[in-house]
Amino acid sequence: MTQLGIIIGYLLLLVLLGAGASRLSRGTSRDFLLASHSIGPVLLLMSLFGTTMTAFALVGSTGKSFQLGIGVYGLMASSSGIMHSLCFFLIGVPLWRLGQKYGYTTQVEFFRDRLQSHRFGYLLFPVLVGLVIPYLLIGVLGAGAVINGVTQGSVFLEDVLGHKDGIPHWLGSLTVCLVVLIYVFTGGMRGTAWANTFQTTVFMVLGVVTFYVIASKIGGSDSFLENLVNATDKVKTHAPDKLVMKPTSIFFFSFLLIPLSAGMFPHLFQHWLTARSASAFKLPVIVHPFFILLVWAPCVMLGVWATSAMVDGALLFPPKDDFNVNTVLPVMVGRLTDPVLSGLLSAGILAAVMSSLDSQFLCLGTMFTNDIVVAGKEKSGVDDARVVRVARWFIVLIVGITYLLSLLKPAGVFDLGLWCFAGFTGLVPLVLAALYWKRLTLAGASASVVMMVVTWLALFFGDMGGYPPKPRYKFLEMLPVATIVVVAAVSLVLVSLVTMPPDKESLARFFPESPEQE
Amino acid sequence: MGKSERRRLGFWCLVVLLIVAQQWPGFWKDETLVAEFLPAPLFYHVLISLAAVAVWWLGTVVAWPQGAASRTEQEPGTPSTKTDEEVA
Repeated sequence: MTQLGIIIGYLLLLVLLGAGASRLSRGTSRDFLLASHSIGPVLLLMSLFGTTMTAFALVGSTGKSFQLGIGVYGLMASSSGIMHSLCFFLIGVPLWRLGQKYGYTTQVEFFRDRLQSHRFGYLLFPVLVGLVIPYLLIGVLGAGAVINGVTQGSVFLEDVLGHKDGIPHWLGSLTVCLVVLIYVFTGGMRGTAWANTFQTTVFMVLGVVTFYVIASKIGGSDSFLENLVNATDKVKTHAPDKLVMKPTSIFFFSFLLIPLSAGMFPHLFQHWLTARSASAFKLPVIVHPFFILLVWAPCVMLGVWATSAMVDGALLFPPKDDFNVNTVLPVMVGRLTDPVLSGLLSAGILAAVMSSLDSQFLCLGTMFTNDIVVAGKEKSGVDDARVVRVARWFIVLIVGITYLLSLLKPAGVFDLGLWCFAGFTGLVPLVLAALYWKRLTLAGASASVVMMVVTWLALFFGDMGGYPPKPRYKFLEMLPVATIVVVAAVSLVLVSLVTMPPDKESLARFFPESPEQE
Repeated sequence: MGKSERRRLGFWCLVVLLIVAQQWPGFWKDETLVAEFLPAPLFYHVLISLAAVAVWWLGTVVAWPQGAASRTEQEPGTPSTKTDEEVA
């Protein structure tokens, strides 16, 4: 009951936060969708970090470290610290500048303008939406699983529901969808940025607290440092292979490409455009790797310690063939902490889930209204209130579709996540060329998108044996992302070079000869 | 090549070096425990994360993209400002 009470209190707090943000709303579409470009460095840092860190960062990293050992930090965390900031630096800042100059709200608007083709938007839009929706599903499913996990065995719920299985997944997912919907609906982008900042703080602080408490329980001593030594000592005895790194160099390299996907996340693009100034990007660029370190390093150590942690003289996780590694953190929290901390940490995990869901919901609404509903129309002829209304209803529609898909309980969501990232990374050559290569042509851009999709589908359904994908899939000894990005880049360059270069007039808007022209 | 271009080039060389260091497998099999609890390969990657903070800080000082003026620094009447006024 304590855990459930804390979770309910936390969800109500978020609804109030959205209501607070709505009181500052200017009532315009630009304010609802981009917070009137008013977000400063701290809010930008927290919202970008909260958006890129999903439940995978807490639950996934602990589970994968349990399975693979400390190498998970090198595979995902240190690489993300470099590549995410690289994306902010090389893609985020220039896109912010162009967004300010020409009034873009979405990626599709930028590419339509850069390539001088309205039709290109109709090619890119479904690809982006198609890649975001499965990403949403991971969060919705994760939220249901967390609420179910922490309420299992509750005496209070047994009296109400008549069983000990906890709150069913469908109800947990539905509740979280509604809460996110309410604060996005009322607060728009400003509410989302505020909620992200709040939730990012929550999951970072609680992550550190959990690390301290669990280390103390496993170590069994009064000294924190001694607890760390004792916990690692147990691993050295029972599972020493978890303390070294084992991947092949080429497979390890392919993981470096996964975080590049941040360069084409539509929800990150929208967050970039909320910045008050280009200087607001400096703090996120610098601090992002450190925040990743703060969240991932404790989670990875917890996952490794879990392999050898003992409770009452027995292994906390005895070897089992069908063991679900995503339960490692919730089980550790449940078995090794008290109900209050367990409730708080569950709220922290939900915070990580919702801080990504909100941005994705809002972004899909923005894309639909801007890229499809009002695309090509004169801005003066568009009813602004109607734009906000349509954006809100589209968000409701997407939430509904995602929720219904979550009821089908699709398998392999972790792997599906990696496949989504692979698709987004496959679009990164396109955005880099659009920003830095004058010779990019419409045909080259179209070929790149089409070939990315074809390669993605071919690897997904052909070589990988269909859905759900194999958990340890490789192609040419690497993650499929490596093949996808090479094919997309080569198609872009070759087709651009054999087609007519774009006219100088349109290029001058994106590549001014002198700074004065900017 | 001017001083600022040299600094800019130096920064991007550091980024490449950082990526190469992140990929370097030298410590992968090292069983040493730093401070008796932190495995050496993990410690190495933690250092890479901290080095990334330093390198990106340097980037914001010596290689920040030019022409990225703030909204308040823009001339009135630029497209985005106009749009905001129109819809308000």
